[in-house]
Amino acid sequence: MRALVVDDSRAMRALLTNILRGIGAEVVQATDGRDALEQLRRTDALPDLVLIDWHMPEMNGLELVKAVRKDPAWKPMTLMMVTTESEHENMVRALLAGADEYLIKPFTPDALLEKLNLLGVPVPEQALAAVTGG
Amino acid sequence: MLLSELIGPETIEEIAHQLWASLVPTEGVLVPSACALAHLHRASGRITAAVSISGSCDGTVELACSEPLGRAIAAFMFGLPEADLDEAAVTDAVGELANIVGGNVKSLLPPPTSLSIPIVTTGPTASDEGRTASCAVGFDFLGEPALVLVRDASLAPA
Amino acid sequence: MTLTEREEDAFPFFQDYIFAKSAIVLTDEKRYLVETRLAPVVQQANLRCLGDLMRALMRGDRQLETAVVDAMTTNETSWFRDNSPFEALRAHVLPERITANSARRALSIWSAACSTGQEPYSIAMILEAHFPELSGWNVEILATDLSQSALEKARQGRFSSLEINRGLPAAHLLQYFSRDGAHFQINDALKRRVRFQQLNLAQAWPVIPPQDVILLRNVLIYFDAPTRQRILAGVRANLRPGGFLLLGAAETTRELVEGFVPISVARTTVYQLKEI
Repeated sequence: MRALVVDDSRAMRALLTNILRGIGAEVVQATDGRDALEQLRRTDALPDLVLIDWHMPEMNGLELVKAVRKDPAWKPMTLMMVTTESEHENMVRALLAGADEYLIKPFTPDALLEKLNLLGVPVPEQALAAVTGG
Repeated sequence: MLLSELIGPETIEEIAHQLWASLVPTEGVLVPSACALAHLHRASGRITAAVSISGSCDGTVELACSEPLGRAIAAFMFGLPEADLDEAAVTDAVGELANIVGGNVKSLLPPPTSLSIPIVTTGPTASDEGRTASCAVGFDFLGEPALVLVRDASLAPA
Repeated sequence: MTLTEREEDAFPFFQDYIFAKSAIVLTDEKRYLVETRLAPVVQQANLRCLGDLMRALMRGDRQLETAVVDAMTTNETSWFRDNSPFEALRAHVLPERITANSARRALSIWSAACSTGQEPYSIAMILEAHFPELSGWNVEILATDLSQSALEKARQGRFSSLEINRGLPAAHLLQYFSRDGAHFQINDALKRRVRFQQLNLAQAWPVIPPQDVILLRNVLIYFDAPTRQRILAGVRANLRPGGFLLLGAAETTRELVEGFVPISVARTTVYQLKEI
């Protein structure tokens, strides 16, 4: 699996990247929406999954979701918001704009893997068992 | 409306508990501490990250912790030994924590509200800090102090 | 005597004590679990160490007994845990039982180790979202657990965002929950669908109405073989012929009592009780 992590915090990018690499994903990072869009336009290996913070300089996460969903070639990508923004109306806006799932910060690593499982993103049985096994 | 009228110590405590539980899922318990401010004064280094809230309420939310606690948090987030972390990594990690606390506070406020990017400073605590804050909740984690402060805009230092 | 020596001494006592109260087997490797789970109990009771806690329990302190049993039995849980069993419910188990019960227009589901309520509420969401034909039916979701504090939390239906993050689809969060300060509150319609009741699976069971589906997930692993056998026999006795049993992902069929047919569906295995 290939993933793109979009967050303006270096520490948060590192945290998300480490969890995803732990399940064998290939991870690239972007620092805000505009950086993410530029990387998506340049790449010939589109990510399967994009994790998107909401509040970022330049282009925010909601605008990024809208921009990605405008291009039919990017339809297969799974978009998940990872943000503190948990107000009802804003979550609705993000889902209506085309985000597939939503993870509220703060989150535990197992919560991220469970959301991926929910989205049908392959998570190795062992990794999931390690976090959900009790 | 004053920020501190909507966001009380119980809410801050709840958000802080969740934040710490998420960062260190297996070890340590975040214990409320009335002495955290005093411990921070005595700590050799200290990191403070502040985010400002504007809109329906104006004010700031600050997260302060001792330097060793900041390094431990950064080590967890970056997945690196503490020795391999530069100062910017520690600053960024504590800034993101303040951002998470501030973002959670923002979600509880009537819209519209916006949140600034965190501003992180290092250095000693002002001696009147606890008094100028509208709400201060101290914690002890793995023997290190941390403090979350809420300031109403009118009371925030210029 | 140092604090550590005291704690070393207390562990065998807690092994016996927990087994006597809940039939849960704590092997020697579970020492860390006992220490981390009971540390908050020790702290809250203003005791110094596990040894103090042990002495208080020996004196018959009922309040501490409840606290200790709760602390040792409240387990990991999440919404739609492992996902595939709930997919099996939606795609196979529930449609089949609904067809079988169409004359009676009644359906009963038992979540037999419901912890803080995520499992029975997940089932309630599936019923609400996918089975509108059940309106007018008598649908009962019974949810039981050993832990009083877990049940209390389940009844409140109030969850932190950390708990909400664990496997709950965002669309369900928006549909079935409202914000309550830093928490999320499950709506009354879903709450009314679930009946919570305290039940110790390892002891004699109260009278339970015959069930169409029993979820007994991630609980057998804590018991010894004779207890497991006894519980499974009880499950069989309380399941309608043709009813289904769902176990945890790590729980095998090896010790299943006779009469169940394993069925592979939605990347998991469910067990159907043979029609007589």
